[in-house]
Amino acid sequence: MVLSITLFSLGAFSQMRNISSDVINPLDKKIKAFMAVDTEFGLVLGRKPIPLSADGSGPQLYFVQDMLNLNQRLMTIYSLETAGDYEWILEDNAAENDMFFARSRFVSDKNRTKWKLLVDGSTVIFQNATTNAFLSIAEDGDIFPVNERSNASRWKLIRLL
Amino acid sequence: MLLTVLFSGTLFAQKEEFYVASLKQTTLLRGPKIYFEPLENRGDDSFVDVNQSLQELVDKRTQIAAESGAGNRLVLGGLFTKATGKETADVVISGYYKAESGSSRAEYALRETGQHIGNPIPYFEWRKTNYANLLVVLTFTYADGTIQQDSLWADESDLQRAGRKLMPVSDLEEIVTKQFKKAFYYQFNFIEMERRWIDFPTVRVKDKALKAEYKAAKDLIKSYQIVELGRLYKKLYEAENTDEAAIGLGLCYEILGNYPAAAALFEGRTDFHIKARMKKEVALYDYLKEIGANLNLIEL
Repeated sequence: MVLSITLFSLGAFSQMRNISSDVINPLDKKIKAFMAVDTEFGLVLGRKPIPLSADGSGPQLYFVQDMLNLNQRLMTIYSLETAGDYEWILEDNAAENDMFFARSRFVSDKNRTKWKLLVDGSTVIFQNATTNAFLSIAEDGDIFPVNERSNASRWKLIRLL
Repeated sequence: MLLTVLFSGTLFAQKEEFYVASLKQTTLLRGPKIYFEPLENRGDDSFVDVNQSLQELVDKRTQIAAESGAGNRLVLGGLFTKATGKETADVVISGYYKAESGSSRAEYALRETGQHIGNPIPYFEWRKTNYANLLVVLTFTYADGTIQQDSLWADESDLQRAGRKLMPVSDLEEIVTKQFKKAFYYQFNFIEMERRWIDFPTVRVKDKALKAEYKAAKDLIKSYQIVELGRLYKKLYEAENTDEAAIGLGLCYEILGNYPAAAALFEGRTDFHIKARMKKEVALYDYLKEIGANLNLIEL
């Protein structure tokens, strides 16, 4: 009994093995939710990106993993919705040549919702697996694709406990 | 004959529970006059009313002895009195305190662990820490100008963890408050009161008038009228000078807190249990004398 409590507490403090959530229902509290904060303007990525508030709150995301091959994994980036029945996923839309969160059932090309998470120091860069475009954000909160990695936004993933 | 022996035995031998006092720990109080000066608050806002709690302890310590038949006049009250001013006090209790509580947030840099495809992804955790702490320093300044101090540093905090509820600040404040109340309680309540069975011996009385009077002893013990009982035993002891009457009178003195009188009566007459008990009680009496407490000894 004592041993199990010790292991549990160590487990609670240890780092996550994987940041992706393995859930079907987004309202399941077991999902691993993150805030993605842009390091340049301090904007929090969401359906409507907003500046990080003083109390440290903002829109949250969660990731669901797909295996591309034995060397690379891809993530679907979901917006965490506390209300509503729809799933919103980040897409690089071909018709509009733009990036935004779209309702999952209206996305015709699911391959465009798969993202590579490239590590840059302690931040990550989102790159679309199909188009290879990088996600970037403007000061006004507009998100758009860029072709150069150097122009891509760097995101700090913050897990709120 | 046998019946008479049984009858007299059941009629007079009496056992009852009384409080027996002993010294729990030493105190920094010196008597008999105490002056309490409210402690200075060196913090902003306090979640615990330090001065009110200390004032209650001082008030209780300086209360007048309860006038009851069985009450231990020595230790139940009146050991200390309140001084009207600092100048007339034997000890001035003063000091300061600082209470802080709230919540802070810290960022922890982490990285995925274990076996997985690709580079481990870095992420951060924002962990909240709720905390409550209290510093209390009590200074005892004596009439001769010397100083002694007692202090408390209580610090409770809770770090947020995944999958576990963070303890609210109010709960932590409650824990600290309990620690504070416990810390200084024994500085003012340094006497331990323990319930013990006291066995009054049967006294064989030859005098007929006294024998009739002695029949009331059982009721006096049962109704805790120890002053009356003591007077009765004193009468028996002066009239017939038996060891049983001396022990009965000594027990009454002991219950009422006049330990020197009890010790003198028990001398050479009692068993080990009473001797062991008396050793503790005389030690308490000597200590009270040493710290200058009022010794309200009752004479029968």
